[in-house]
Amino acid sequence: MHLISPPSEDRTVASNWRVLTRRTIAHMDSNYDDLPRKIVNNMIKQLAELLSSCGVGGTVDNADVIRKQGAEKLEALFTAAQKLNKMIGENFVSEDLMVSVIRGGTMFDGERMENAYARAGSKPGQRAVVCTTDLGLYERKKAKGVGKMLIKPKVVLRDS
Amino acid sequence: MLPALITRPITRIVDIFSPPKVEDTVEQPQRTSLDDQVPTPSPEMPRHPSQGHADASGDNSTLVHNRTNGRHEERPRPAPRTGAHRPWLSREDHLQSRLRIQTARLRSLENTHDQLASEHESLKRDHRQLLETHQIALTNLHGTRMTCKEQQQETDALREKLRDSSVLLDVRNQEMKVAKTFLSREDLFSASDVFQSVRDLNSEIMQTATYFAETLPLKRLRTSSAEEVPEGPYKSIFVTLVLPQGPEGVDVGSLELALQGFLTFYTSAVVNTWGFSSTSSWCDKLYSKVCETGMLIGRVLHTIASN
Repeated sequence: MHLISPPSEDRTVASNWRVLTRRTIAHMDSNYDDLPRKIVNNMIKQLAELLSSCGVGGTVDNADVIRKQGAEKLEALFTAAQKLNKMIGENFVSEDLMVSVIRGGTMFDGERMENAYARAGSKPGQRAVVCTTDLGLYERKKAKGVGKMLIKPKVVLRDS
Repeated sequence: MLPALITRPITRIVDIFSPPKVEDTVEQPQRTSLDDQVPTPSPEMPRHPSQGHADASGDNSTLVHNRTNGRHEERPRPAPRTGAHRPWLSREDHLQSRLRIQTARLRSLENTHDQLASEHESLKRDHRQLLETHQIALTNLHGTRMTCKEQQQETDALREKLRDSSVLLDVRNQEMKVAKTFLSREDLFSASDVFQSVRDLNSEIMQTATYFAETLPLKRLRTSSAEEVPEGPYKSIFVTLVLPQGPEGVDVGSLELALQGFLTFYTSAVVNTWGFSSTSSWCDKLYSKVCETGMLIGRVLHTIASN
């Protein structure tokens, strides 16, 4: 199953360049092997900071709690994300794919997103997006073209 | 008159007989047959100077020896013929008889001569034809040699061209190998594989968020305001979903949504990134520019360098 129309030659050359470059460049990072741990640590630090800023936490530091109880989960999540990164970035030439999320505060657009808590028959109307709960898949078009949303990201709207 | 008649044919015979082989081969059988008819001259008969000396000596065995061309054959000597036994023979008859014999020989030799002359003419004609054929063949050979030389030159030129073409082909092949790397349209995965991976990742995000919301000992320790929440893509999520809740605790459902939003955003950055080094960021920027503008990479580089 192939996506959209066949690419033009220019695009094919650019896509091949992208694939070759991403395959090579990933290993140029001196901390490549240590990357998952560093990313997860950074994620834990940010999450703990967000929770603390909201006044949420236990009796101990949030970061320690998250690290002790959820580091493995987060590493597994990071590994799955990295696998998808390689799949669409280093092994997919025919289309230029990327996952998509919708920033909070963006007005809902049925063409580009999907309401995660839509009730049957109700219309989302002009409501802002709070957050994205499910990643979407987007095909980036070349110059002056329009991209296409292959999987719409699911979003939570205000007052849902 | 008679000596003249006799002398002429004899002279011709002598001339013709001078080659010994012709005389021997042609004359021999006739001589044998005619000799039986011609009587041997008697000792009284006057002899012609051309006759053998043996006759003069009266030795018949010598005469036999001459007629057999040098071979010694002993034949019974015939009984002596004398004028008394053949009185009717006169010298004139004898000469006429000799003349007839010689004339017959002459005719025979003339016929042979004519035949030989005819054969000679035929051979000369054949020779001439062969010479002409030879000349034509020589001309053809010369032409063929010239053609061969020209073709050799053409072959050399073609070999030179082939050598040049081979070198060019090698260069083009090398270029094609490089170009082929950039012309491939084959994916290692199908689109459905990618779709499934996205769904799996979404499922992983949801499970992780649920796990954190349900297991972490999260309690509200204090009241907080939106200003305290760090700026960034996650601020609106936490301000909207976590802050408004009461002081007693945090609603698990809302916290789960907030964590899901956080993890989704964070994961999308990991999936879409080219890497976490400065080079990766620079290449990502370059590629995005190429995709947006459609410019060649060289021009994009020039634009980036100018800025």
